[in-house]
Amino acid sequence: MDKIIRLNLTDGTVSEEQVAEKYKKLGGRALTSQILSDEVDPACEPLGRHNKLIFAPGLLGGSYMSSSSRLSVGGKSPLTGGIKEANAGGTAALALSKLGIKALIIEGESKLGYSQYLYMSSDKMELRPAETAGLGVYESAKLLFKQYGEKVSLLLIGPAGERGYTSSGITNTDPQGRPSRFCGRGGLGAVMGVKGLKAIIVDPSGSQGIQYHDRKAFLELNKELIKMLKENPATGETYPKYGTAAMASRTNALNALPTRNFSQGSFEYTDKIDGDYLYKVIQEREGDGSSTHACMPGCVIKCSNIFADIDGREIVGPVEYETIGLMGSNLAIGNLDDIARLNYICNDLGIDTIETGAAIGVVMDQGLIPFGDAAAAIDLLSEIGNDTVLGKVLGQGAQVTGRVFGCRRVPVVKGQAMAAYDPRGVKGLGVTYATSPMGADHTAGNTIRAQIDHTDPSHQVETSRKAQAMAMTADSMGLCVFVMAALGTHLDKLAQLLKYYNGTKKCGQDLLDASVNALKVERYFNLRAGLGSAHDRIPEFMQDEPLPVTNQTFDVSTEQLKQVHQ
Amino acid sequence: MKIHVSLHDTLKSKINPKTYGDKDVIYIIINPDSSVNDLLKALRLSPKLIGLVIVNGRQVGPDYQFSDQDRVDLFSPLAGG
Repeated sequence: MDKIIRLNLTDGTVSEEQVAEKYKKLGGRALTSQILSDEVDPACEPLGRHNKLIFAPGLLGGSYMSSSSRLSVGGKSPLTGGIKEANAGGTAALALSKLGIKALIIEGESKLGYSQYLYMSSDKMELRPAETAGLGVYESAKLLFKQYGEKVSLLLIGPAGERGYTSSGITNTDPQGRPSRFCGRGGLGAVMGVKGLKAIIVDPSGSQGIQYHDRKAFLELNKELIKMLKENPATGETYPKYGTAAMASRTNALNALPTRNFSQGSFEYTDKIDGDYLYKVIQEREGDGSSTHACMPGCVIKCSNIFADIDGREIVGPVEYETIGLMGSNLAIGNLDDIARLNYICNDLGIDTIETGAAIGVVMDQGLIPFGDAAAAIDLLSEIGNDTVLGKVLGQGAQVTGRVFGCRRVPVVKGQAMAAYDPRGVKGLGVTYATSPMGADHTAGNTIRAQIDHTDPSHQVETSRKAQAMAMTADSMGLCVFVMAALGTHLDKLAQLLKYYNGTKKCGQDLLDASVNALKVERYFNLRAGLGSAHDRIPEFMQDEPLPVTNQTFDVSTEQLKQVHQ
Repeated sequence: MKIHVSLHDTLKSKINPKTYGDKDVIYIIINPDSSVNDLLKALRLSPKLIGLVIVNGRQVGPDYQFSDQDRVDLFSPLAGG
């Protein structure tokens, strides 16, 4: 990938630049964070004209490696007030790679008064008026595919992003055109929305083939790595068949499954929403449903799914563990159809199901609607859709909602809602939530796989530190984090794969060192943005209130947390 | 002593259905002071298939020794999502 595209929305220009030497060895999250650090004043207003939005495939983007076309989107987060990278699978990263694009930098803001698209192809890149302004994500995708053909990749925001809601994300389309692969966390949809951009259409047709440094050696090593993915029990069996939903029975057994606004760690109806049950329901209903689905072309892990209703008609794809957690057990909703419907509506509005589930959990806790009332939860999503005052509050996420409703139990760090792992049950991930530059983020360093006692506070600093570096490594290479389940102990092979792809000479340890450095860049941005160690905290209620059954509190000390990034 | 074992998702298909049927929880009699490995041997499950062992709601390591009426959840390996 040899070029950087710069879109300036203030003057409406699109320009092409050569990749600066310092960026050549960076990709994905390491690249977006470095560019942000170089070009954006960390003290700027996230929804102001000085913030930038950066889209970047990873270092392996465009290659034949399985699960290597994750897309990183970076910017200053209006939710956390710090640096943010959100990533997703889908088709956009591959399409950008085919166009030879290492990064797309979006800066300035449009003063035109109407929304625009950015159209990108091998022979032109230009802004066009957005006819889908104000429309839901699914309708927008339908109209755009009709206009541009089925072979393009779409990046979209929903009405929530257009309104600047900080729970909004940026979605891109899967290989069948579903606009449901969300770069969901941290409100980057709002950044795109206030800049006046509704969608990016990436048309890779007519582009030159991808160049390899040593194609033959790449394909040979690739074959070996794909075999390892298929033979590993997690990536070869559990993920393809049960998807991320398989995590529900595990966290439930660990008493770490957020239930009733993080007041319990296990849910009495987990067996109606876990991986086993999801598989059973999808299989029984047949029709449009599928338990095994690839969100990126060529991925052999295929953890995604398509969920159909009782008549076999697609409701939404995928139903992920995070949604089963934050919009299922966290809301005491023990029904997959309800969860799938909530999921679809959130997707259509363009909002993060984690953030929104946490916000709804907060208002349930305050008695606005009862726990378990899925119909009432759907009504709240209608409020968001209709931009009512209540909708505006919920649309800003859990922390704002908690403040407005006077809730003392708000599960956030640096303003971002926690994922579907209670830090009192998986304390290493609690350390990640507290100390990651991303805020409460499970993809930034999940410790669930570590063979340690998750409730022993003494092991967690080291575990989180390693997990954060590993996550950054995956995020920078464009690899799905699940690849690391099988290949995390084979970083030398991944480094070699990289060498065969683009000639970069690194070993596994070099990859980790580069990741540690990238984390430093992010932390330094945050410091200059005003986020210091005082913000590296788990909410006090989780330190004071033990979870029932295991009686665990989050008891990793502040002193220990300070050691993570030393 | 008697312990209650729940096998989750991929592990369900790895034991002999004739022995244990389609139940969610199976009961197994093992010797006192049996370890996790002893249990796996009794179930004819390779340790390589196991990623997480939970006993009475608490995660345990391979050297855990069972007590009567322990409730065990066995899971295959998995990374987060």
